[in-house]
Amino acid sequence: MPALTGFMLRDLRGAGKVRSLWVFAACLLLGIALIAACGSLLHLVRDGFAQQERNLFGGDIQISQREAVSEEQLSWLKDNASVSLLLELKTMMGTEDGEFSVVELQSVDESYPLYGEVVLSTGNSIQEAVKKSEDGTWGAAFDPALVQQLSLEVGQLVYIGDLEVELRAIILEQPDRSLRADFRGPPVIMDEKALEESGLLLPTSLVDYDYRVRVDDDPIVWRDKLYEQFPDASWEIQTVEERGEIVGRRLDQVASVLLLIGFSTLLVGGLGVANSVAAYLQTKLRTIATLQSLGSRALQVAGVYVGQILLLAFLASTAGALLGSSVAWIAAQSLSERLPITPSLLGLMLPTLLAILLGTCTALAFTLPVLGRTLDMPTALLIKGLVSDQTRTPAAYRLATALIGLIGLLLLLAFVPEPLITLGFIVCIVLLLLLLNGIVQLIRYGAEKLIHVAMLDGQFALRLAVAGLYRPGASLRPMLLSLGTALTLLVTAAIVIAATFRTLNDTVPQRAPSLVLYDLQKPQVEEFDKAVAEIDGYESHTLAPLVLGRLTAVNAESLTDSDSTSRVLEAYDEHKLSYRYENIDNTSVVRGQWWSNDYSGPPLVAMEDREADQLGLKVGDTLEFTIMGEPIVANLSAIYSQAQFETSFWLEAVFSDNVLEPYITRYVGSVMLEPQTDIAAQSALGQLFPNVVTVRTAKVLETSRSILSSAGLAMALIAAVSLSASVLVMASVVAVNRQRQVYEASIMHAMGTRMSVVMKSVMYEYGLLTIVLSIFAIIIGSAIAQALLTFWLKLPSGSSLWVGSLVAVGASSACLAAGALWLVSTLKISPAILLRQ
Amino acid sequence: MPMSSIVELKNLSKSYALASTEVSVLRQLDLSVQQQERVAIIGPSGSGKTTLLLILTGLDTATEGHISIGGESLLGMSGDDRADLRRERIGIVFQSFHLIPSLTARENVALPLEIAGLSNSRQRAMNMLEKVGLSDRHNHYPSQLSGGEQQRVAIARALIHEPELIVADEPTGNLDEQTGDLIMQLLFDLNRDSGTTLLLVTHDTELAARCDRTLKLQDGRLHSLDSSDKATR
Repeated sequence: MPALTGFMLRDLRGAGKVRSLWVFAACLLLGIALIAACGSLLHLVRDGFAQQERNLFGGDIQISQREAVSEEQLSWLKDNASVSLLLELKTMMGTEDGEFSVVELQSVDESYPLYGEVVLSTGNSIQEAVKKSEDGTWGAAFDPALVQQLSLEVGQLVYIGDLEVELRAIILEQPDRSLRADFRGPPVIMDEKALEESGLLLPTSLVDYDYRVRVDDDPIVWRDKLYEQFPDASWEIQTVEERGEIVGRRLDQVASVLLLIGFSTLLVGGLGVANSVAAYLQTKLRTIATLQSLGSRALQVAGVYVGQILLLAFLASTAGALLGSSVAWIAAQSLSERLPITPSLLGLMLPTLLAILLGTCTALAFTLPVLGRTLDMPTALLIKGLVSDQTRTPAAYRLATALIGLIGLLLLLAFVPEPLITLGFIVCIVLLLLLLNGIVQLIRYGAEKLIHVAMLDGQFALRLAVAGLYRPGASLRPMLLSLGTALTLLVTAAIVIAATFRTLNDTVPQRAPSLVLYDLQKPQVEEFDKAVAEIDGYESHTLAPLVLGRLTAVNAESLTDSDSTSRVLEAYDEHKLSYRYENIDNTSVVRGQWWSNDYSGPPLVAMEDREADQLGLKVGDTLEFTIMGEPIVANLSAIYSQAQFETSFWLEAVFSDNVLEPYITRYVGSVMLEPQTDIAAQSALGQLFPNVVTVRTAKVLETSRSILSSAGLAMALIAAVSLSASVLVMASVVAVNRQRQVYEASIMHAMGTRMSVVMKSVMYEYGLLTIVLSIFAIIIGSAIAQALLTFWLKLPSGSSLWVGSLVAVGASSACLAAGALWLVSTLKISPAILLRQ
Repeated sequence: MPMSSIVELKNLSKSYALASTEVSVLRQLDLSVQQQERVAIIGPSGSGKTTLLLILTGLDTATEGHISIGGESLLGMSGDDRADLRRERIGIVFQSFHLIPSLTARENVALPLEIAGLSNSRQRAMNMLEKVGLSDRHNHYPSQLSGGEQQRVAIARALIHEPELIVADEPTGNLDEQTGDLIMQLLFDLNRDSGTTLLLVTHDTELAARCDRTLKLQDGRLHSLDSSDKATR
């Protein structure tokens, strides 16, 4: 064996000139780089979260309520732990220029933060920055993005509620910021007493009271003591571990999806790997035959080529893993400003090593059957440089492939944090392969029938191309598996993006109000009606009562006692409730029916379909809600669906008239204005009603477009990576078929076929493949897009389906035309080889 | 009535430029083959047999001299015209069979008719396979056939379009003796039945002896073995 190890390396000399080996390396590199990048980034983020868990959470335990805890409760808390209260509410902030913006107002006390440190641009403490100055002006610390957006400067005054507040510092670091991100708006930190003076803490305001607690004991033990002490309290308590688990699970889910996209690319690339090795082995047939004729044992010859593949796979996987880890490192550096990531080389080690191992296993699993089939051929055939199509993979190679596949599967499970998602992925892959196999068989059957159609008589080039779809060794299967799946992804992405943008551009502006407002207090309604009508550009406005309540029981079974996790979790969620009369727009009943307008019987309720489905509700169920501490029992009469982008108010349950009347304390509303008057109107309303949050729809749409553009770009990028892998596979398929095509073309030329006819048959073959792939991608891609749009995004696909068709035809034509042109340009026919063999 | 010649070579030379020197393979070679004649060409390895066959079939061109097949001069013919000539007038049987691996036996046999755009190719291919005794294997791929069977398919393919000239390059070279005998018998029988001309290149002197004439290619020239060393007419 040592002698052959030397030969193995010597035989690899000049391998760089073998184009198929570059395709082999590129296919592996692309998939492994994606996996290593996602895996490494996940590792770094998880490590970061684990290290800074308490800082991020703000304490060991958080007690949340919509109101302050009682004096007795507070005193118990303070006696048993360190406590810090953080009040949070969404409100409007106005500038001296009259511009208004929604902000997330946070008030802090002397103890904030319990863990970590707030770093301000001025270098002083947060308490120092927000305290009242000698002239009686309160200070505030601002989010840098907000400062930039409103062109503010330190020292400037802003208006929050009834107060004039001075911008004293810019927040450079806020330890508990990362977990909250900016989902609720950019933060502005004030003193708790300033908030009290602002007039924003009205009895019905939506304020979160978060009590952060730092304990010396085990948080769970401490929490149990608290439960024991106040068994009837309605607060929500979460420990740092529980929060960590939730964050970890969400991270895992996102990472799993990203990793599986990487694995899909690797699997598609695996086809390229197999084809590339097949093409490489074709150049080695005579060498193998010579080794065999010189007395090398089968295992020795196998050792040479398995060794070569292992070496190349290891090098390509290492390059891919290093590239991916570098990308993760760069991403971690840029994300470390917003996420708690501490990039460390040690954190990258494990995912990088796993990626290398996975790449090597993938390469082996895909190439061993090819190698087995080649080495199992009779030496006489090898000497002639011929490859037989009918050779079966020897049992030993099948077994080795299965074993390596199993190792690959275990590595996959080790890599992807969510085993259920992995399992789903594997099931999907198996189903997809079965579906593709079925489609391949169907096309082959059709092509075999088509070839006997009289219409094709005399059309030699066309008949040859049709035969190319079903003959042994046809490229249909690998092309469909690689290019077909990538094109399907591209079609799905194109349709979803087109449908979303179309809805945003066409539908929304025609129907959407200029301003949407929240938290209008009941006593303000009359004054608001008058004031809004006097605003420049005013056209109309509507107000709808909004009541917050929790669903507590279904058919007399308490949600907290339910066996269903989703029902238990739902018990803690507040729902936005209203009544039907003229409040619901753009909804359609999917099950049950609305009550009549003059209905006055026992309470009836309708639920939004996603909520209802999540809870497993059926029309006719008896639902019990708790609103302001009182139970309301109503019969579920209808389940309705809301159009995602066309709904002004997202209401989760709607009651029959009068049921909610006693609980109405606040309203939501919308204002229709003449074009270009929304900024002035927002400013005017902000000055008159500082507690009312107003959102300009145009700004929301702008943000939505920006998010969608990013999402669209991400989808297009994923599709592009997948398409790149597929183009590499196509290159490998063309390469592996090239020798055979040259051989067959030489025979045909010797039989009297003109070169132009040979070329024409190649173009026809690729043309047919383009048609088949386009049809496949259009049908499957449109079906997936339709399902996504209907069930997930709830958007009409409308005329967007043609975009998918255009993309499929365009992309497949471009790819395959390039492949065919390259093949034709390199098809050097040499009939002399026929006579010389 | 004297038969007209199907192959005419006059002063045919072929040389290859090799680095700074020129290697002459064929030197002012003359050959005339009559219709329905069976001619064997023998010669040692490297004597230029393959080069001669390549030129005869229009797969290569001569450096100088005249060549005509069935009265059509190949001189100045384009590649496509030479392909048409092969399609219409010549059938080739290779030593290594050279069947297209992805086509069945019947599809391989039908190939010349398909190339010519003729109808009824499948039925004619079946009839031809019947003649070579392989009608029951028509749906098999080359890899599912033995060497002898593959050569029978190749012979059927060479004859199906009823060419005037069959060029056979060591047709038994890859077969065992017994199978080789059977194949040659088949080739001679079909040649006789179809009235075609057979030009056979072989190492086997016994096989050559079964032809009407045997020529030896040596030093770039053809020498008749039947009448001393004199080149053929």
